[in-house]
Amino acid sequence: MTKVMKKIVSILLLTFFCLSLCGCSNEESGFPTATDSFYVNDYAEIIDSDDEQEMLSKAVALNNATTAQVVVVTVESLNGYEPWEYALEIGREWGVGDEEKDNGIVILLSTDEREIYIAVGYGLEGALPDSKTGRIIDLYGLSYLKEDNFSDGLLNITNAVINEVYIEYGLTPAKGYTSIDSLTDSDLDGETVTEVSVSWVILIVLLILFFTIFRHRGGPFIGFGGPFMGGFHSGGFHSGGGRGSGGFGGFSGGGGSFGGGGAGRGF
Amino acid sequence: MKKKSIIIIAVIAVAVILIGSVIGSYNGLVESREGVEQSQSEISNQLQRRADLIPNFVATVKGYSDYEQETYTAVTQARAAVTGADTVTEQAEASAQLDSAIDIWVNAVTEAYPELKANEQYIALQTELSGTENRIAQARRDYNESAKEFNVEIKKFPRSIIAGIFGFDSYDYFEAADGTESVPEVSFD
Repeated sequence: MTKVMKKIVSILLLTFFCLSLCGCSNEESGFPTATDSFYVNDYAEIIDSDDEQEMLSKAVALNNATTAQVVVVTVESLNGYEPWEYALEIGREWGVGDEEKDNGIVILLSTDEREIYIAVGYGLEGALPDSKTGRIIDLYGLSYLKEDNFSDGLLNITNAVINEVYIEYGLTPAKGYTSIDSLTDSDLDGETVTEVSVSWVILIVLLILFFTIFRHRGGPFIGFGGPFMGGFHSGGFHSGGGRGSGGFGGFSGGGGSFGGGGAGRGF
Repeated sequence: MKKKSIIIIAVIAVAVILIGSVIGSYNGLVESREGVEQSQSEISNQLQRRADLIPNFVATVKGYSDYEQETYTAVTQARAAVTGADTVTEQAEASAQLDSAIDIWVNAVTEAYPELKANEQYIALQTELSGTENRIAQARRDYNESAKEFNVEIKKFPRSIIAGIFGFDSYDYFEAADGTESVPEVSFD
């Protein structure tokens, strides 16, 4: 009898311990968990399997070459969240990007709200400032997305984002890819645009701003650790770091963090 | 004799544990206070970033006649108020004013010059501005989160004693100011 009791107690304790460890924030917040393939999470089921494979292999290759992580997520509904909030929370909860470098990107598309948003981790805000991220959507994706061709739109956008990250890391992008910085609207769709000159002054000012932001930003906030605390860290969506390896051969996040950088468009 | 030494050892042991936990608690509080202050400075950072974007915006639309000088005055005033704000609450109020002042001004400009909407530079700056808004919102949320953790921590026993001794004060929350929905007065004379 006592043996059974002991067993029950230990099982209960173990469950409690596990629950407190894995922080049930996923259930609480209503954000989906990452799929096993991690880089492509097609919850709205709008991506062709060929395109999915292509995105996945390119994202894996990028991760191997640079440690940066580009994650694509499609959902039907944002459940009342703003696109940027949703993408940012996914980025933080999944720990997209390297913990030290914060070089994660979340490309989020919702079919109900017809919104696309690219959340950029702290470490890539310099390479992909909001305006550039917005231009990537405008130039590579919007025309497809407007025609409900989500798969091609996402593939094009993901390709462009991945190539921009390669350029940022001083690596050669895929053949035939020119950095968006040297492109004009007319190069892509032949539309005549009256004013295309990008003011260098503005670019430089923005760059300086980004660097000052980096200087002031430290690591993610860490919980308390005094003797009376028993070691239970707060479970909120703060604890960006320290995710274990996914196991079962799946990919997982590296613990990167996000601060609201990125750009989005309705379509 | 033996009894005495046991008592002495016990007293020393208790003292060591007590001192140790006081140091531990103190260090823990210092660490979490740093966290709060860091997230607080992140808000100021982002507010500054937005304030700095405004001149760029002006430069972009300057070619368009008088770029709605009247509504722009409200923006510069609100901008100055943000920079001059001392407390979290003051900052919240001032930046809420700036939010709506920018909205009004940008609307006025685009209404007067609809062709701006196709201007690449304008689109880029508009994206940067809204990105900054998001960052500010997130920085506030992060600040509130860490301030809440800290505030709860210094009220819990026995840390409350240590917090009291060393003068750890609780932080104000960054609440959406009352003026968020109200529109600042803009004079058109």
